[in-house]
Amino acid sequence: MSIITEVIENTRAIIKGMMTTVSYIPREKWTVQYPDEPVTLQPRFRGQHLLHVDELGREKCVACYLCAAACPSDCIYIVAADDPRPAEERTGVDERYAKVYNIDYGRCIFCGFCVEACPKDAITHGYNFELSVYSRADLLKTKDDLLITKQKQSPNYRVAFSDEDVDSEYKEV
Amino acid sequence: MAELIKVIINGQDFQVEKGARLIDACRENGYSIASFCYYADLALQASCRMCLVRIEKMPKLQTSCTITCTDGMVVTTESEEIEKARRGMVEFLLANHPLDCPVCDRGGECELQEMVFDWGDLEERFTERKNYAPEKFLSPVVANDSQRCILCKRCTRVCDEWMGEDAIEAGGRGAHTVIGTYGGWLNCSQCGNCIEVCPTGTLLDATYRHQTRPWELSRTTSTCSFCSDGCQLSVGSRRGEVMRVVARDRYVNGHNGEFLCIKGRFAHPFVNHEERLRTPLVRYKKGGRLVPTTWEEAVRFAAQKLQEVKDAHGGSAIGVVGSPRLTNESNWALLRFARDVLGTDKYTASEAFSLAPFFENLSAPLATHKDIRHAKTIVLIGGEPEELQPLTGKQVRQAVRNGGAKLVIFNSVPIRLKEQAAQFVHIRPGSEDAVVLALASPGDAEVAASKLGVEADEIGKASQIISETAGDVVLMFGGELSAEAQSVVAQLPAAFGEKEGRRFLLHPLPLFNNSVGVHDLGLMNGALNPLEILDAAGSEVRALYVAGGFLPAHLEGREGALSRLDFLAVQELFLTETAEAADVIFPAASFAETDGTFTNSDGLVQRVRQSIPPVHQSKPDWAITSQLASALGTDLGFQMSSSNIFLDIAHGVPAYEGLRYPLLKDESKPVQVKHALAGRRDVTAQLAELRRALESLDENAEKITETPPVGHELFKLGVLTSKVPQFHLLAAGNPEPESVLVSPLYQITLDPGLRREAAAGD
Amino acid sequence: MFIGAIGCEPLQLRRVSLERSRTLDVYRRNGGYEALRKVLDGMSPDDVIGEVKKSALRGRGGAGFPTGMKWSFVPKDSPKARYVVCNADESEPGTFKDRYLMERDPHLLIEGMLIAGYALGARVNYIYTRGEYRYLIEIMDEALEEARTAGLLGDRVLGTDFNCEIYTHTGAGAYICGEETALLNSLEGLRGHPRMKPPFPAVAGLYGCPTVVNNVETLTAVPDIIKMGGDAYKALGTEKSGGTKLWSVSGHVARPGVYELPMGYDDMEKFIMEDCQGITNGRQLKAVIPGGSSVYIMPAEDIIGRDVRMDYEGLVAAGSMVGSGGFIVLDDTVDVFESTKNLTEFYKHESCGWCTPCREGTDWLVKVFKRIESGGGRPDDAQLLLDIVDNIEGKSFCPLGDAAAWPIQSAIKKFPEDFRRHISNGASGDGGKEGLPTA
Repeated sequence: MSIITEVIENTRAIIKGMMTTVSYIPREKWTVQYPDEPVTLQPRFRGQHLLHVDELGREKCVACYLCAAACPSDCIYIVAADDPRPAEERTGVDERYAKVYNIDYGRCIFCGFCVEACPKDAITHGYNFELSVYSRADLLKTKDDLLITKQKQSPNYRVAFSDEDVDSEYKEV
Repeated sequence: MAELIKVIINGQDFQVEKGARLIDACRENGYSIASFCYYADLALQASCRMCLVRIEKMPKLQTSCTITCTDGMVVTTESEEIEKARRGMVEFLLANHPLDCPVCDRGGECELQEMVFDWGDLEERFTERKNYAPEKFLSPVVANDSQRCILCKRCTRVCDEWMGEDAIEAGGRGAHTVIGTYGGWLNCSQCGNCIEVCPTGTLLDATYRHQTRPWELSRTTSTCSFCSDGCQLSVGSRRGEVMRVVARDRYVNGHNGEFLCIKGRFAHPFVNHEERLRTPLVRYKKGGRLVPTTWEEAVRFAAQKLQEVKDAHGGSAIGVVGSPRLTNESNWALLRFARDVLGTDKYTASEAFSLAPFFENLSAPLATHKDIRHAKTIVLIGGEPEELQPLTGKQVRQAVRNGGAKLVIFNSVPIRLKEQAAQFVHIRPGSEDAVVLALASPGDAEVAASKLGVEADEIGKASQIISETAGDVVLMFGGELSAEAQSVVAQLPAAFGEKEGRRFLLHPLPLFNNSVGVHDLGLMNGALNPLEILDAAGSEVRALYVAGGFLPAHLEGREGALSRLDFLAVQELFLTETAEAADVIFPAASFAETDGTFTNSDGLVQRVRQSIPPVHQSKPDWAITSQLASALGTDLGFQMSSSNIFLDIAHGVPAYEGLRYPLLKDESKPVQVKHALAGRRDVTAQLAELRRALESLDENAEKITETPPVGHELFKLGVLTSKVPQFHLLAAGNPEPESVLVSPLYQITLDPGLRREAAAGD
Repeated sequence: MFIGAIGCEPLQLRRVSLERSRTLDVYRRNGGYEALRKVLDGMSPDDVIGEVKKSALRGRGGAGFPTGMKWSFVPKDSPKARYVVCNADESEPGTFKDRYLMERDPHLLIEGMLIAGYALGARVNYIYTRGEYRYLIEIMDEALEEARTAGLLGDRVLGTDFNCEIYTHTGAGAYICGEETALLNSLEGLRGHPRMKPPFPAVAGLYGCPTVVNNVETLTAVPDIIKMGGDAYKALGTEKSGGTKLWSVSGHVARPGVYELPMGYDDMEKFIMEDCQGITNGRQLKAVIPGGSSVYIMPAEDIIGRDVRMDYEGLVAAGSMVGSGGFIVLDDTVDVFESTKNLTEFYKHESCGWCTPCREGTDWLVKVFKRIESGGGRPDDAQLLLDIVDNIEGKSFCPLGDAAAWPIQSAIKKFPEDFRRHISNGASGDGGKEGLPTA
C-alpha cells in the first residue's frame, strides 16, 4: 500500500468519525452537569430509605422486623417497644412501634427487599443518593435521619421527575 | 412390652402398640397430621377438626385424635376429600382471625401461621367484616387478644388439669366465644402456662410484649435458677439481653415438658437489670467507701487481705460460704479454695436447712418428677409444693387427677393441694416431726395423734393407704422436719417392709435450685453451719469469703456479725445486705451468663448454659475463685473451663462418678446422680429423740384453718424477683387497674418502699 | 288450633283435651298408672325392654334411633348408678308437641319415666326442660308432688320394692342442650357443650354413669306400649317404625296444631289439604319443612301427587326426614331465601362454639346472607354458600353443624330462583356496604 492511499484512507476515517461527532452537536444533550445541575431520577430509583408517617403524623412502622429479616446484608437494626398512650398521642400507628430503627448504609445494597417485605408500607426507597460522608460511623442512619418528615427538610431530599412516582411523596391512604 | 396390632395407614401396614391413639400412630410412622387442640397429656377436645382422617367402615371423616387404634384398621390420611376438609377448617379459622401478624408477638412461631402455610389457600374468600374485640391485659404478666383465638382451649385445660386453678375459661357462645377470666382480672398463680401452650397470639407474655420477634432471638436451653424442681427452659436472648424465657419443648417430654412457673418464666429481667454490679468494688479502709476498681486491683487487694489473715490467725480463721443458688462448678471451686488454698474446714453454703441426715440414711432412690406423675401413692409431710416447688405440685396434681394416685397430706396449713388429697391430716403447727414418728413406729401413733390434734385412726388410715399400694409410693417432706425426723423419713420404707410390686421413692423438698448439689459436693459438711459462722465472726472466724449472700433468715438478729470481721469478700449480682458489709465485692455472673450444672431435688444433674456474655464486667463465680486462688499462689487447675471443673467433681464426688458434660447433653433424657443407698439403719436413737420432742409439744396449740392465698410465697419479693416490676404489682395484691386495655404497669404506681417479708429461698 | 289424632285412636293425646287433664285424678280415671302397675306386678326389667323392642318404637327427638336398642345398651352388671334423663329441651324451631304433653298430661310422662327407670334400674331420674319452659317445671313439680303423695314416686312405689325419684331441672336457654351429651353437661352444672362419643351416654353419661336420654314423646309412648303390648303398638305403624307420631303443624295452614298420626300415614298432600284444612287464604303451597327446621326443605312439587308416606322411610325417600315432627308449611308468599336466612341466624346464635366448622361456618353464612340481603350479592355467592355448608356438613363435633347445613343445601337446590333474585338484583339496601370489610 502506498503512502498516498494510506493518507486518503486515514483522512476518510477521520472525516467519518468527525461526521458522527458533528451529527450529535445539534441533538438534545443528555449529560447532566451534576452537581452544578440537579439530576432527574426515575420513579423506580432506589435511594436512601424513607420511613413514612400517616395522616396524623404517626410513624407507620410497627417494628415487625420483617425488613430486618428480609435484608440480605443485615443492615437494619430495630428495637421494638410498647407505647401505652391513647391512639391519638402515640408515636406510631399501633401500640407497637420502633424505638430504634437504624440502617447501616455501609452495608446496604439497595436491593429493595425491605420495601417488598414491609406489610405496612412504612418503608420505601427515596431518591437521595448523596450519602457520602467523611466518617464511616456516619453511614449509620437512625430513625431521625430516615423519617420522611425529617428528610423533607433536608437539602438532599429529592423526588422523581415523573408523575408515576408513587412512593417518594406522602400519599393519602 | 405392649401387645402389637396391625394398622393399615395409606395402604401400608404398620405395627402399633395396642391402645395407641391414631394421631400418634400416624405421626410416629411419618404421616403428618395437622391439629390444634390435640395436646398429649391433656383431656381430649376434638374441636379443631383439623386431624380428620377417613377410616374404613366408619361414616363421615373421623378425628384421629379421638380414635384408638384397633387391629386391622384401615386409615387414609391423605386424599382429596381430607385435603378439602383441612383447607376448609383453616379457612374457617382464618375467617375471624385478624391478620395482624406484623404486630403479633407470636408471629414467627405461631402454629396457625404454620398451618396456613400448609393448608391455607392463596385467596381469602371471607370478605365480610371480622368480629372485633380489643386487646387487653388479664394480669400484669398475661396479655390477651381474644380475636386471635381459635378456641383450641389448651389454655383452659392446662389451667384446670395442670394447675388446678380453673382461672381462665371460655365465655360467650358461638362465634362470640372468648377465653377470659372470672371477673375480668386473673387472680391465679400467674404461671403463664396458658401462654406457653397457646398456638396463636391470643395469650401473650406481657413482660415480653412488643419487645422483639422470635426469629431475632438466640435460644439456649438451660435450667431454671429458682426452686429445686430444676425445670428446663429456653432462654431467648438478643444482643446480650435476655428477652424471655419459655419452656423447652413444644410437646410434652423431658423433665418439665412445657411447664414453668411464674418465677421461671417471668422473673428473668433481673439478669439485665440496671442495678447489677458493674465493676469490682473495694473498701480500702473499714468504714470507708466502696470504690470501683479493676479486676486486677480487686483480686490483688482481696488476696493480700486474705493472706494477712491467714498469716496472722491461720487458714482456719477464714470462712468460705457457698450458695445453693450457684452452679456445682462454682461451689466446687469454693470448696477446693477452702481446702486447698486456705486449708480451712469452715466452709458451708447459705442454705436454709441441711439435708445431710436425710442423705446419710437414704434407703430408697430419689423420686424423679416422672416417677411422681406415675406414682400410686404420694405422701406429703409438711411443705407446700404448689408455692415453693410448683412443678412438683403440678406432677402431684396430675398423678391424682390423671393417674388415679392417692395423695396423703400431713400439714399444719390447709394448703391448696388438699383438694386433690385422698386424705388430709390437719396437724398442729410445728408438729411435723410427730407425724414421722407416728408413721415409723405405730406404737407411738396414739400419743402422737393427741399431740397432733387428729383422730387416732387418721394416721392408721394413712399407713394403710401406704401399705396397700401396688406401685410406687413417693414420700415427700418439706423443710419443717428436724434432723432426726429426716433420718427417720429416709428409713421409713424399712418400717413398712417389703411387698411385691411396691416401690418406695423419696423426694425432699428443698428450697433452692442447687440445694441437693451443695449437699452432694460436701460443701455443707464443713465444721460450722452458716449460723455458727456468723456467730463466730470476729472471734474464731476473722475473714469470710462469701459467694452469693446470706439469707435474710441467717442475718436476722445477727446484724452486726459481718462488721466484726477483719475482712469480707463477697461475689454477688446485686448490692445485697451481705455485699454492703463487704470489703471487696466481685460482680458475679448470673445463671444466664455462665456454664455449669445444677442438681435438682430429683438428683438430676442438668446443664446450665451460657446464653449471653457476662453483663458489664462480671465473671462466673468459679472464675473469680480460681483467679483469687492464683493470686494466693495456687493454681486450682481449672484452665478457665467449667467442663474441667465438672470433670474434677466427677473424680472427687462418688455420686457424680463417670459424669461428663457430653452425657448431660440431651435434656429429654436427664441423668440422675447415684446417691449411695444406705441399708437398713438403726434409728432408735433418732426415734427416742423424736419421742422426747413429742412430749414438749403443746397440746392446746391453735390450728391454722385458713388456706393461704394463691401466690403467698410465689409473689414475695426477693433479691431477684424485686427487680421485676410485675412482681411488685403481684406482691401488692395484684390490684385490678382502671383499664384493662393498657398494661397495669403504666397505670398503677406502687410505693417503692413496699418490701414484704423475705421470700422463702431468697 | 287442633289437638288430636287423625287416622287412629289417640294414644298419647288421649287425655289432653279433658277437663283438668293434668291432675292425677283425671289421669287415673282414664287408665293412668295401669301400665306401671302391670310392670311392677310381675314384669321383669328385661320383659319391659323386650316389649319396647318389640314395639319398634323409635326415638322421637329427631334421630329416630330404636328406643329398645338404646335401652339394651345399658350395661346390666355395672356397679354404678343408672339414670334416666328426659330430654324436654324442645328447642327445634317448629316443634311444640312435648310442651303440650307436659302441660296437659304430666302424669303420662311421669309414668313413662317410672317404667323406664324400672326397666333400666335407675333410682334417680331427671326431667331437663329448656329455660323458656320454666312454667312447665311448675306444672311438672305439682304433678310430681301429687304422685309422691299418692305413693307413686319415691320410696316403695305402689307398695313394691321399687324406689324411684324424679327431679326437674331447667336449662338456661341453649338449643345445643337438646343434644343429649350437652344436656348431660348442663345437668351436671358445666358449660352446655356436647361431649365426645364414644363413650355413649348409655355407658358413661350423667356423672360418668350409664344414662338413657329420651325425648318426652318417646317416654310418654312407653305406658301405652306396656298396656297394649309391643306387638299391638307396632301394628299401629309400619314394620320399621311402630306406633303413632305427633306432628306439630304450624305455618300457613288453616288449622295448625298437634296431630297424632299413625306411622306411615298416607299421604302428606292429603294431610295438608284435608286434615289441616289446606293453605290459609286459599294461597298455593310452596314448600314444607316436615321435621323441624334442621331437615331438608320439600318443595310443593315433591309433595303434590307424589303420595309421600309420613314415616321415617317415606320421608327419606321423598328427600327429607321426620326429625322432631315440626311440620312447617310455607305458602307462595314466602321467600325461601329469607326463611333460610332466618334459620341460619338461629343456628349461628345457637352454635355453642366448641368446634371450628360450626362456630365459624355459621357466623360466615349469616354474614354472607346479610350481605346478599343488603344488596351486595355477587355472582358466585350461591356457590360460596354451598362450599361453606359443605365444609360444615359431616365435619362438626355434633349434629348441630349438619342441622345448620341441610336447610341451606336443600333451599339452594330446590329454590335457586329465590337466591338468584336476591344475589343478582341488589335491589334494596345500601349496596352491600354493610357486609363489606373496612380497611
